[in-house]
Amino acid sequence: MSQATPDQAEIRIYRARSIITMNPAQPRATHVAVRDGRILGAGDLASLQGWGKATLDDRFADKFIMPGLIEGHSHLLEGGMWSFVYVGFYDRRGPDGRLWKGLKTLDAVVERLRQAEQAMDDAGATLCAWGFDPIYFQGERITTDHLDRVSATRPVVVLHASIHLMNVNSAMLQMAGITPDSGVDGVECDESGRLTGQLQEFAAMYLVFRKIGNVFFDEGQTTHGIWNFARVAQLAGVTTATDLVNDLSPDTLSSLAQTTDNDSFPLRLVPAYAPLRDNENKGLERVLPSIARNTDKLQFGIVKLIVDGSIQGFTARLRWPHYYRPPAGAQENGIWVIPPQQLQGLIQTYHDAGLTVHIHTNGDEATEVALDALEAVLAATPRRDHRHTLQHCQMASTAQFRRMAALGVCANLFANHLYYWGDAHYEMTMGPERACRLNAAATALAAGVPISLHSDAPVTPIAPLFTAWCAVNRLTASGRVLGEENRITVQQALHAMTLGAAYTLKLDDRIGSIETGKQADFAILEQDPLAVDPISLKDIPVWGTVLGGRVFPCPQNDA
Amino acid sequence: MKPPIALTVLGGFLGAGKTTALNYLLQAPHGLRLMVLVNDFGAVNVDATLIESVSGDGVVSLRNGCVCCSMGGELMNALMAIEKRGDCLDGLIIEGSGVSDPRKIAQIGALGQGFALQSIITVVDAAAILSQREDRYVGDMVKTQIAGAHVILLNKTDLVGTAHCADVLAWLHDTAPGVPVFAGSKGRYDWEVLLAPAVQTSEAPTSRMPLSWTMGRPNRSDRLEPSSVFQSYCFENSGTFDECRLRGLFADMHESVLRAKGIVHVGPDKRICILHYVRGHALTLDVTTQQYAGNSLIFVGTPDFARAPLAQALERTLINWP
Repeated sequence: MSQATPDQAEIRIYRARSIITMNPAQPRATHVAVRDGRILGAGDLASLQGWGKATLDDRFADKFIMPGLIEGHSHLLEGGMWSFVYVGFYDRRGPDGRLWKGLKTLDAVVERLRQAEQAMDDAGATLCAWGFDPIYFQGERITTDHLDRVSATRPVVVLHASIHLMNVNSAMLQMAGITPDSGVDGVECDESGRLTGQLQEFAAMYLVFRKIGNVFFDEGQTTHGIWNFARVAQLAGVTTATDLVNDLSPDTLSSLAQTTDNDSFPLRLVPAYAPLRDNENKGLERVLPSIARNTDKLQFGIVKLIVDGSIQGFTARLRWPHYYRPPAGAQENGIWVIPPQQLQGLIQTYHDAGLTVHIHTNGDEATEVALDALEAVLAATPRRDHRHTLQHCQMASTAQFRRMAALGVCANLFANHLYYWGDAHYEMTMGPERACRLNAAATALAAGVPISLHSDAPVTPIAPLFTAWCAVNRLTASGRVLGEENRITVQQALHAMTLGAAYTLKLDDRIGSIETGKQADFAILEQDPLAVDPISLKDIPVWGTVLGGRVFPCPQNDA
Repeated sequence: MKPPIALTVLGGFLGAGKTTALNYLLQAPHGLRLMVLVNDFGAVNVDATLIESVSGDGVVSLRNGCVCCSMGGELMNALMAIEKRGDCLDGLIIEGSGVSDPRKIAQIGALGQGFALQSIITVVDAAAILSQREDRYVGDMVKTQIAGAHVILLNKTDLVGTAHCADVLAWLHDTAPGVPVFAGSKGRYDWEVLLAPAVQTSEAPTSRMPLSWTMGRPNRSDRLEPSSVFQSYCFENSGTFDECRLRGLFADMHESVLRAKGIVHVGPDKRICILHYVRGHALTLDVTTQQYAGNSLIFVGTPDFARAPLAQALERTLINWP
């Protein structure tokens, strides 16, 4: 910890190179005064001195302050992942601040796994890794040949970034009793009929998990996992993040309450109740009582519904002409998670209770079904300012954005997809025209739809400046510009990652901008995001955050 | 290693009658301890008291959980928990959501590790299916559910006319060639059909499931080949059967009745019995301690099986029949 607990009545005035406020009445300031964890005001020094005796704090004098960044769509699962070995293609920063370099060859993946294997004490324990993405190795596949080099005896499990696939070594195959003639879809064999060690989708992966436990998932639910999630978020300048699929069970509630109650916990958490996750299907009986337990750092009350699957997994529901070049054997269209016929009833339940519903729709047909359901609900029971939000909403057409605006529906767009899967969408899933309108932020704003942008961590890393960069530049991993017309300005993107996200969470009266009365939540940056070349937005170093007036430096800055 | 748990997957679109069929199955006098896992997003109406009475060991239903999420938090955990108590279970029935592909769920039992697939049963709403198959959003899934079945229960046939029913049957045969169709209503079907293995697995499941239901299948060539169509009929009544007259009725049972079973109150000495009849064999009546809530007899017959005369004949075997 870098500072003693501040005197509650103390006024502290932080000086910065510049402060981006997101307050349209005063876009820039040089000083911000904080008392009791909240903002007394922003402006120049003279405009703040009238509040009384204050300590002038110069530690950010050479830095830039902006409202704490808000991740509107992430999952605690991200925190759990860090208990395992990261083997992704891109650099990723762990909860301790360590930068895990991206692994550019399969040999590098094997080498990192070998090091981790050698560091393990328990000879029988499984070595678990995550974040692997095969699409970046030009067709070279990871197989048991690679993973057996890590260990011939210890089971090794490598979960892919998509979390829909895994690769395992021969020891794991043997332990799980998987044979080439297993008859289970998703157990992959090569041309010679030999197991490759790749296991796809639920049934095939279940064969492994039933032996080693539901390790990745369970770890995200632990106190340790929640802490790691918060630390990863904090390192990226995030002060508020959602856990967009939560069961709100009594155990979860007390774990969340206990963890976030700690003064040194560096994040405000917004867990969404997902009926999908709740085995007991309690619905409102779960959400409404949880709201009574809200604190400054823990906000219950939003609800998450999931309509379809994912575009890259060919499980999103697309309108005609459906998928562009689906793999052989793929079904014509994606899947429904919630039956379209049941969606309206589900929305109605939570809408009538005065809650905001966040609806996962990836494909444009799922978006259409969600809008039909919302329109029917709003026609039956109009409610002002509901702020129901479509989450991902990646393929929405211009007409759909106009409908959303007319219905008062917000969009939280999955901008990171542009970079990570943009090329795949262009070449395989959607084809050029629709890929170029992927996560069409400019179209949404032009139609008058309030937007935010997100990472869906752990699917992609939680890093709002990178997410903003994606929406501003619309560059794919290969460097292709995906729909220049839908680029938005840095100012618009930063707004989406602060006030925009706060708006979809109905927290915009408390967070998202630097102005009188709001929580003193700041992202402390080394450079001015509105002044750098937009192509460098993602590279701006984050010094740390301030949460409710408490300073949380990144580990490397924690003197 | 523990033998795998017998897995039955119940599929079918919303409103087809999956839950009603499941409830009927659970209260049937098979004496099996069954675990039920329901994957549904609306109100779940599986009768918890039935599950309690069948399992006898406090097994409860689990809801939701999504097979589409490979990490499958809750479903994954639920299946692992069920495996752990495999010793005290005779089978697991998973009722899929109205829009899930039962074949995907059934994959869990494909390897015969932990779970061994017995059958995929798809329930079809005879009155609604012809419009459901055209639905712009779910038509594809409705067809997928039917094409993936080992057994089709054509439900709600009491709500449609003969011509409509024939149209539905013809389409079912096109969509799922060779798959037996049991036509009936109100979710009442022969539970042995629902619980018997329809697929070969490498390892024998743990459960003591009844013999294959195919023994009662007709040999003669049928105009609906290659699929077989069976009529299901459920006789429910609160009276007491006269044992002598009941045995007499079954001794002369019309050849269109292939099999019958159920729980009955038999007089004059007022015993609760499990009735079991297979065409060509003598009727058996075994005294049972199973819960009794009125007579419930399920008949399986060929398509020309006439329900009304059978119902009248059954009523005439009741002791208090006027």
